[in-house]
Amino acid sequence: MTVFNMLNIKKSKFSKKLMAFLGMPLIFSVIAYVLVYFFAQPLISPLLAVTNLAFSSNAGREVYSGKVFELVDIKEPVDETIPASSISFPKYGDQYARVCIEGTKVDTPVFFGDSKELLKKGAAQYIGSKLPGFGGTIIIGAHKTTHFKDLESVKIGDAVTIVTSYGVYKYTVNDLKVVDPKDTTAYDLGADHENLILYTCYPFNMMGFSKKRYFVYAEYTSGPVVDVSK
Amino acid sequence: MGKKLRVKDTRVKAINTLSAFLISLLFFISTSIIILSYTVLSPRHIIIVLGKRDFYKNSYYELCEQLELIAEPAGIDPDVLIQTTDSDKLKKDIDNYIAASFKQSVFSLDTDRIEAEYFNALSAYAKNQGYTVDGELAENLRNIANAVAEKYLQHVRLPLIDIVGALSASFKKYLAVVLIFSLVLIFTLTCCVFIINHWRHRAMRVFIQSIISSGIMLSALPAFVLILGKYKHINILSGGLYLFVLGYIESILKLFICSGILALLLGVLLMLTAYRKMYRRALSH
Repeated sequence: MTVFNMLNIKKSKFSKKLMAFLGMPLIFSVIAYVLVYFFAQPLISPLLAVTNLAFSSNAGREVYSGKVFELVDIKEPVDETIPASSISFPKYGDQYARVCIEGTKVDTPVFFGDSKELLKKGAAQYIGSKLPGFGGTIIIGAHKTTHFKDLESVKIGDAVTIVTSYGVYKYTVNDLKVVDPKDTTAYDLGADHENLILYTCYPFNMMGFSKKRYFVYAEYTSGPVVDVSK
Repeated sequence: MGKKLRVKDTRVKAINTLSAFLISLLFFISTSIIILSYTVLSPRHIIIVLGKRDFYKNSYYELCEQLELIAEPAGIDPDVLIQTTDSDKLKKDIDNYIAASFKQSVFSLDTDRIEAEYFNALSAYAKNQGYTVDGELAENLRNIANAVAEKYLQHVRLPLIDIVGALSASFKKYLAVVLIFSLVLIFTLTCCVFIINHWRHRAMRVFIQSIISSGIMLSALPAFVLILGKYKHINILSGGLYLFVLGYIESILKLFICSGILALLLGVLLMLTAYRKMYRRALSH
C-alpha cells in the first residue's frame, strides 16, 4: 500500500468522523429548530409581534434631546422679517428661549414641551402652540412654587420679554384671569394674531393640587416676524 | 446473503440516525424545560436577578423622583414624602407581589394605611408651616396622599409579572409531565440503540452524536441572540426596570449556553474515551 493510498484512507476516515460528530449534529440542530418553529408557530408569531413593538432598532433610550439654544445678545427687539429657513427649530426638551416680566421676579428659561421633568427645570411651552414670531398663540406654563412664583404680582400693562435664538420679542399684558383647567375657551390655538399666554396653578398660597389656573394674557408689541414662505 | 446483510445494515443505520436525532431532540426539550423551570417559571430567580441588578435601590430612587414631581408643584417640601417612604418596605412589598403572582393568590397591599401615613406626614408639615388642616386643605392633602400611594403601588406592581406568574401556574404541571415523558423516552431509545447494534462502538457513536447535537441545539441560538444583542434595545423608560429585564434575559441565555457547552464537552469526552478504548483493543489484537 503506497503512502498516497494510506493518506487517502486516513483522509476518508477523518472526513467520515467529522461528518458523524460534527456534520450530523449540525444537521440535527437545524432540523430541530425548524420543527420547534413549526410547532410553536401559534405562540411565536404573537410573541414576535410584541417584540417588534417593544424593541427598537436604535440603542438610544433618551426621550429628550436636551439642547440649549444660544440666545441672541440684544436687549431690544428689532422689527424685521426673517425667513423661517434661517431658524433652528427646537425639539422636545430643548431649552430655546428665556422669559422675563418687568417689575417681577419672573426670569426663567423656556423649554419646548411641558412634561413634569421639564416643568421642574423652568417654564415649559405647550408644543401645540406656536413659537414667537409665527403669528399665533404661544402658551407657556410653570409651577407657582418655583419659576412662576411671582406671577401673581403681574399687572395689566407690564411688559413681557421673550429672548430666543433668533430674536427678542416684547408683549404687553392686557388681561388676568382665573380659569378652570378644563375650560378650552380660555385660549384660542387657532388665533391669527400673535398673542402670549402665561399660566400657573391657582391659588398661589394654597398647599396641594390646584383646581384652578391663573392666566396672564399679553398681546404682541414688537419683535421680528417670521416669514414661513421662505 | 451479502445483499441481505447490506439491507439489514442500511436499516440499522437508518434507525441509528433517527434514534440519534430523537434522543438529541428529547435531551434539548428536557434540558430546556429544566432551565425554564428554574428561571422563567421561578419567582426566586426573578428576585435574585432583581437584587443583582440593584433594581430595589433604583426603584426607590425613581419613586423618590416621582414624589418630588408631586410635592414641588403642590408647595410641599419633597423630603416630607421621601422620609415617609421606606426602601426596605418597598423591597418587601415587591417580593410579596412577585410571590403572590406565581402562587396565583390575591395580592393585597394596605393602601389605606399607606395613604394614612402620607396624610399624617403632610398634615404635620402643613401645621409646621402655619396652616390649619381642615376643609379644603385637608381634602388637598388627602388627594396628594392618594396620588403618592398610587405611585407607590405602581412601583410595587412590576409590569408583566402577573402574566408570567399565571403562565407559570398553568404550564408547570404540563411541563413536568413532558419532562418525565422525555426522560423515559431517552432511556428507552438509548436501550434500543444499544440492543439493535451488534457493535457497541456504533451504539456509543449514536449516543455521542445525540449529546453533541443537543449541545449545539442548546447553545447555538441563545449564543446568536446574546452576540446580536438586539434585546438590549428594548423600549423601557424606567432605568431600574430596563437593567432588570436585561439581566433576566441574559441570565436565561447564559444558562442555555452553559448547558450546551457542558453537553458538547460531555460528548467530546465520551468520544475520546470510546476511541481510546478502541485504539487499545486494536493494539492488543
